[in-house]
Amino acid sequence: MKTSLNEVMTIEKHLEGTMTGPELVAFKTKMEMNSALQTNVSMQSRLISLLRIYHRKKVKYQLEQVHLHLLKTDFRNSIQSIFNP
Amino acid sequence: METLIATLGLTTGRSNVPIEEFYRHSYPIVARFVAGMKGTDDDAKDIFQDAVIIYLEKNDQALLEPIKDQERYLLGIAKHLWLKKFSKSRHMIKLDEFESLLNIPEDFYPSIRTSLLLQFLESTGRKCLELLSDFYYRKLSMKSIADAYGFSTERSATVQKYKCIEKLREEVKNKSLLYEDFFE
Repeated sequence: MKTSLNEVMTIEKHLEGTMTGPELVAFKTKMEMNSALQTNVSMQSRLISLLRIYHRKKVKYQLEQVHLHLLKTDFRNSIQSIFNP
Repeated sequence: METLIATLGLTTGRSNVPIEEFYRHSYPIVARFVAGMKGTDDDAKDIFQDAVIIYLEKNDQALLEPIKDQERYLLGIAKHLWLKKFSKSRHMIKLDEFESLLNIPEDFYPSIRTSLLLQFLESTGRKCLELLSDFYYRKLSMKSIADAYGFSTERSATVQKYKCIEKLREEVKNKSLLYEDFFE
């Protein structure tokens, strides 16, 4: 478990672009020789992209709540007047 | 509504205008455009909310002058979103120089496979998704995450964060392979 967590941290550092110098060279070399590591890097990168989509879904839901809240005010009439002048 | 604003962290640039005021002020600009294209109020709501999400992401990346560009940006993105949704309108919409430089993020409309994968993760690891999206996209500190999720120390929260990445990464790996078999 510990080794795996270390790997997660190392891959995160690589994906963030904060890995430099000999550490970066060593990591890239390791990746070239280790297909399992390549897959893990690719899946971790995919996970970060999925999290962005998840976050968007959450924000959209919360914007919807704002919209519903505003519809209880005079906002409803001002919007209706745009669509039914 | 204050709690929601605090939860979202949605403030608009330097003026710190609460989201409700921002919404009330900016929505009609997009609604008028959509109405002009013979769209419905539901179309306007959908396009406006998507435009706000894109705006907030760009704002986070400090790619915009927060207040100066806000309304132009929202309207410009709304036009792009409308074109994406109703490509037949292409000849009816003129984009100015500023608007033609804007774009919708490539992954904004996820593929079916990605949506299924996310749906799967939501069913198996929602708590981890919450924690990780709070860290990566709401930019909460580990201290705030420790407080919000009831971890006694920042260190415990950090360890949990990595365990979550590991857990979800494995699920993405297993499920991605399964979807590849299924879709290809």
